[in-house]
Amino acid sequence: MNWLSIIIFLPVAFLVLILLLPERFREWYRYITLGTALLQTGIAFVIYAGFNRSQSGMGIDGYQLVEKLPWIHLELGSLGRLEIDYFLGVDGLSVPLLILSALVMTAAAISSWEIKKNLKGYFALFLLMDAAIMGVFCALDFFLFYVFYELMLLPLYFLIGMWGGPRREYAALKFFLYTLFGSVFMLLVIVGLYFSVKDPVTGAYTFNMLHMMNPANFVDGAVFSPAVVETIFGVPARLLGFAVIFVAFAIKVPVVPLHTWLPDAHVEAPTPISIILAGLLLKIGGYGILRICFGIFPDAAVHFSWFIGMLGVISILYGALNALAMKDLKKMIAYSSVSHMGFVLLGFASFTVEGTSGAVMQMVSHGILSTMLFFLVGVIYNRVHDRFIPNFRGLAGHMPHYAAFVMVAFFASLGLPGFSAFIAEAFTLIGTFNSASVNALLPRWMAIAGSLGILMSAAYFLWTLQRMFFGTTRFKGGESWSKQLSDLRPIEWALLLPMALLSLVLGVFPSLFFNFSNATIATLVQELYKTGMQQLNILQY
Amino acid sequence: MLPHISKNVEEVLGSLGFFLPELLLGALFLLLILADLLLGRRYKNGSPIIAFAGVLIITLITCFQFEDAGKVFFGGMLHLSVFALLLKILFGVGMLLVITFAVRDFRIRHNEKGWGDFFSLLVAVLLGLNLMAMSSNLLMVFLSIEMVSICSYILVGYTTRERLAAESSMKYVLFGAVCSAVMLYGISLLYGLTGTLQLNSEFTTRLAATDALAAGLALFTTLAGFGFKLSMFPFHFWVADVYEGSTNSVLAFLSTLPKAAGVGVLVQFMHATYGFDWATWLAVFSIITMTIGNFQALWQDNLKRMLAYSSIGHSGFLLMGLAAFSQTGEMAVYYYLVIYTLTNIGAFVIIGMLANILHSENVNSYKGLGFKMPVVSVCFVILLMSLIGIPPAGGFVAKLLLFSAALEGYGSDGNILFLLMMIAGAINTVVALFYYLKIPLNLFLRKNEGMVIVARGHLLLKAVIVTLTALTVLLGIFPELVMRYFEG
Repeated sequence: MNWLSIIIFLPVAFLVLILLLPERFREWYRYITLGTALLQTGIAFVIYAGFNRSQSGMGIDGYQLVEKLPWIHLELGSLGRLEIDYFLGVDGLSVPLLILSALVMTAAAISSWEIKKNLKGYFALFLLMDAAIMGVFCALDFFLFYVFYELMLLPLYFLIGMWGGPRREYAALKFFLYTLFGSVFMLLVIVGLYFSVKDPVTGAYTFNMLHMMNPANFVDGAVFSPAVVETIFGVPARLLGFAVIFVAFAIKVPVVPLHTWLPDAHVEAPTPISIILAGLLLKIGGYGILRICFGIFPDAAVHFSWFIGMLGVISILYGALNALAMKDLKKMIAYSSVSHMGFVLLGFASFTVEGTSGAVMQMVSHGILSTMLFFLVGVIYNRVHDRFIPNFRGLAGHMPHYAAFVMVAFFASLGLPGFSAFIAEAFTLIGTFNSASVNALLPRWMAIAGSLGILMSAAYFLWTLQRMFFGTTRFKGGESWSKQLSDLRPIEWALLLPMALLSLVLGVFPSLFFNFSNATIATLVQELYKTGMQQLNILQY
Repeated sequence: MLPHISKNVEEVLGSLGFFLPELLLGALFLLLILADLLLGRRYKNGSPIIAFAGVLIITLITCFQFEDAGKVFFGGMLHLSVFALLLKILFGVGMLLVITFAVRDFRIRHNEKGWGDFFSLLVAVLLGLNLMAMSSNLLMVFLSIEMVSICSYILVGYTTRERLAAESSMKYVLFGAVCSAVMLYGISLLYGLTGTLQLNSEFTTRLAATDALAAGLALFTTLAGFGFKLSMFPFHFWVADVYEGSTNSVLAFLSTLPKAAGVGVLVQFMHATYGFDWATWLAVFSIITMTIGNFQALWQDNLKRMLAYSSIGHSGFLLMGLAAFSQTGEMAVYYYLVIYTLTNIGAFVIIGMLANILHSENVNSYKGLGFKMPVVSVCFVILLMSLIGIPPAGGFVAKLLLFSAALEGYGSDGNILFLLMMIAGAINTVVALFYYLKIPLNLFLRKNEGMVIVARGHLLLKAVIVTLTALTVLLGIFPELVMRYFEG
């Protein structure tokens, strides 16, 4: 039992507490949940402080706080043994995301004050999802990862479906179907993978992801063995396996054209759940692509890098164009998420240290900023139950503090220097630009197209700012809206201020992030590129 | 002549020891009939209590049969393989649950014919199931299948005063009779081809020596009998109508245990017909069966019909493991059967309980029920997740093992059908999600403020539901609890 197990199972313990507490203590549920999230944040920072930044590597030596317990060990007769372990560990890639998770969970817990009905069910599901999300970022066993990954779905289905907006049934079902569609096929690849990989020590088939990342552990002649070219339906099995897992995570990210669940789910979900969806769920997609898709199939990743970069560019531009056209503020922000997550894909595809670091930082930065953005939408929606951009005008004069935070969030999101998104997007673009000269994977125009995306994000954010906040104060709801639209309450300050400061701190001192994860990401990118190229030579496809 | 007789008698006597659970089941059957005749009027609960206690004891005795595993007795009529033994335990446990459920089943409890016969029938059908799992002679196969079938016909028709039950019972009988006749035809062909009814190595070699076309025809016609029990394509047409007309406790039995027994017989049969290309055919049947089942379930609003079609879909998944025809496949199929039995019985207990309260089995009548009966509803959702195959419920590990078995089959002979079967399995999982989600949708996402629920003491059923749900999750997290019996 180390910090990782505690951070994962802490919410489960409090979940049981909430289930046991009688209804009359229902106001306590909020504080219990907030307390859990704060405790997790504390633990996350303890992990951050105790982390050895120079440690890196592709094997077990690259991970810290490793915990490994035997879980399911089956004799499969003619096949030999099957090994599934309770296997946790973190490196410079997962710790920042772990901290982000704890922070976003805290923000979501604060934002949950708007939930008024069925508190017991809500907070129980909330904590269950909390545990699953933490588990995803810590799991190093593919089976364990998959269990956590799927465990998120059901709570989210109910959280969107029971506490969501008018079209919640449709949105919840669509979200569930899309994700399950991706993950069921991923399950097939997982089965293929564990049949291909043996634990070098025990000789048993294993779900251990680190073993899967080491080409030496693959069984000769197995489906996904990199040593020989196995084909399925005439396509090399490794390329197919990569594509299937990539699609599963790309649905989560989401990558255009697999993004259509996102506007529905984000818009219909209640504010705290929108925050979690945008702040964390999308990051799980990005994390999965880098850790699992790229980690296990580096050859296919190198092979497909142009397509992945292209998908990134399409997401950036298509998301931005859609955001430009939206009249619903929440939908606009949902599409801006699609656009911003495109940078993550572009950075990964560049196979450069700058690009990948930038992409990971973009995940952290977008986690913080989208939390702010969705919360800010929730602020006016909770007051007047309307969030259509044309229905508001001159909010800056009416709610000055609110307008100030909106401006901070908007400017930070569109990449104003001094905020985290600027650094993240700049590094991503530098990496993309350099890729042409370093490894010749991505053409230079992709970087230019990416910067065009930044320009467009400036357009839609500034235009929204102009339409909603400037000019003479005028609301669709007239006088009654003016009364209801009061300025920020203390609890709203308590969420917005730390988030804004965090984005600023990361923008001014990006080394807080870069120094931390550099060793891991540098090793990761170099090793992946090296093994990828070697295996691609064998593949000769 | 004379020495033969004494030898035969010796063998029969020697076999009796291995046959103890079945002998006791026979005795229990007689005891139940007598008890119902003599005490039925004074002690209404006498029959179920005796039946429950008897089956419990017999199941415990069965658990001690592991040291006899692998024995062939009664002149080769029965073969107590590990698989058969495990199935017998599953039957025992499943039957205990069904008996418990039936005690609270309104249509059984308030049946004008009394309910003593019902429990003696359950015991008789359990005997048939045990014989089915162990049979290693085609004659025995036929007899045991008929025993199960005839008992099932009566169970389905137990509430014949209602028109729907009578209709479904009639359909079941007709369909079952045709399947049996076709199977008998196949068995006679097999006898003609091989000259033996024993499912042993002699049978295997002689069958391999015959013309492939003739052997194939004989095998397919024999398959009709098992296919009927398994409700696999093309012997699945009876399922939806019969399910709709049966009472829920009968259904909990009908949808699970005969299917498991059908798997048991098919496994024995496949061992004896080694060399026939089962993989290809079962893979094709598997794909068609699961697709038909799941896609038809999409249109159903009646829960019984929905679960009927979904049970066809599950048969398709079971066939996936059988098509792989390996040790992994057998393990996967057994684990799948355990989880399926527990979850399906659980689901029918819930449906039965809610039907008692709401007098409806339509999914739309469940609106907002989740807030009135939270514990049962949450259990229902978890059981459904297990049926879909979402972790951490047991159904997920079951599906994972089946996929493993199919991939192993692909690895060993490179038959592309295995891959197609896996892909079909994945697509069907998503389809299954689509219709299963109708239930949580109505339970939790929709509101029905005007609903008034008369709180009744359903403590027994609630206990069963919670236990089954807990077991499903527990077995999902620790599958070794079941799987370790396959080791060694």
